[in-house]
Amino acid sequence: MLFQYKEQNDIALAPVFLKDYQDIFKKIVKNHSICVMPSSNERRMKRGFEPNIKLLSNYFVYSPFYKTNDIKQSSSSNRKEIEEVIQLKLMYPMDQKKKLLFDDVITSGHTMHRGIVLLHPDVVFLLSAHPEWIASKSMEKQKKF
Amino acid sequence: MKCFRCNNTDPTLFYYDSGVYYCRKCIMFSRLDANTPIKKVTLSKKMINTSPKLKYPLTPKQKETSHKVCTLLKQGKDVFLYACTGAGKTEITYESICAYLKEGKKVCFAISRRQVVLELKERLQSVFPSLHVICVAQGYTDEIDGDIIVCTMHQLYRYPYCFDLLIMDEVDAFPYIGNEVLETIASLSCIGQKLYLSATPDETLLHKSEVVTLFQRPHGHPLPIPKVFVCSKFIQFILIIYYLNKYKSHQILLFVPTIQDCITMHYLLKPFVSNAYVHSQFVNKDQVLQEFHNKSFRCLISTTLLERGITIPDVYVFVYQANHSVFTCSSLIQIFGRIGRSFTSPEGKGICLCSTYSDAIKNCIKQLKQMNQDA
Repeated sequence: MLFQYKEQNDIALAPVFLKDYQDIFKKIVKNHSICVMPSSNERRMKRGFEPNIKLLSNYFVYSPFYKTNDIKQSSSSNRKEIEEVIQLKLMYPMDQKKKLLFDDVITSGHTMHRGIVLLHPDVVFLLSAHPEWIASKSMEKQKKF
Repeated sequence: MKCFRCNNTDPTLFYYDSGVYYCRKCIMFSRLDANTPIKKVTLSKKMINTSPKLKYPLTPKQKETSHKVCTLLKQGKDVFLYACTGAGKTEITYESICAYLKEGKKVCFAISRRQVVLELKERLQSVFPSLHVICVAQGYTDEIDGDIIVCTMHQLYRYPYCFDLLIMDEVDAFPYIGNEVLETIASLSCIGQKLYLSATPDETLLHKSEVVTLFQRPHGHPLPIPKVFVCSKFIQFILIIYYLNKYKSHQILLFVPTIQDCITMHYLLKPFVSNAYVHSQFVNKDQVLQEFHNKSFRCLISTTLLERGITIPDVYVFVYQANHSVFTCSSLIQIFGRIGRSFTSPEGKGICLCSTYSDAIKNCIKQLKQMNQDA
């Protein structure tokens, strides 16, 4: 469903992903500002929209990161490369609230790790996780997913 | 408001986004805005004079059927090749493929299942070594043009108005059967003739085109008719053990209705026979199949996953709980069609175990007997 939304531009699906988590999300964002992980300029142009921002259209969202080149993480053979590509925008104004870092999917964890290193968020919210990433966690943590 | 790819005109299946409506009925094939005409895709066309290099020559019946199919196609008619399992449907298409290539026309072979696409590409490449045969399926979409294109039904969306000859195999199988969107996309891709292949056709498909039949296998032996036993599940299990023992020198394909049955049967049969199981959610399907081919174990337990496309020489087939709704008449015909497919082992045994003698079983037996008679 995420593929159909992101890569086939099925905008109609945008409200579906957070539907079951509206209450939890509303509680968190009372005291947190939402920051999303980025797409590259080229992919944004090609899609015509920013998937993470569209998902969160009911909320005010910051986009404090940018990509220095058009790496598509899902088709990259060296996922660690993304950590050098994602940068924090300089002079990007944000409020002083605690930060919630949001991304739609975590696979190797490199993208999210980069976001955490740059932003130091208080909360990380992931919509979905690749089974391999879950399997890399301890048994105790795996039970929580 | 209309989608020109899938012919959808239902307003509830369009969604409004930033000034345009797009079709959600065929969104899985990429987004297309309403009332947007489909542009023809240009593929390479060249006159190719070639003939197939076959391991075994066609039988007289196969040659006759092949010629009949080719003649009807040249007359501009769509053809349905209704041939029994193991009759050599693919080999029968070669004459038509060569005829179309000779005239500089474009040929495509579309199949329901991805695994079969990959296998068929290798097969066609070895039969036509001088041609550039490509496969287009999930994971294989870098190259989409070749002398012969072998693809899944879904990939036909890439080829609007492209093919002069579209060969569609297993048209009675998921996902094509009953799928309006796929049917429309397939029609859109073909500007010439369609050649449908199946051993278990739907009535609606038979009426759409000229039907050519072939119910004789190349080795000339009749289709094996399974023995049917109507009894309780416990007795069915006893009979499985009995026949496993009776047919000691043969590998057995045991079909069961559900994934859970696969796992249960695997453990119940472990003391009696070396066995493994496979189903749609099983990760190492290819590996298990290869091990079965290599005779690493004797009995392979499977759901309907393996009902089509698999050839194991000298295999016997058992079906447990054949009255289960998952075993349709087509399904049972395909399953028992796994028996006796090779020249070296043209005969075999089928055992059909059921709690009730369902209509599907009745029709399966009836059709198999009818095919043998018509052959």
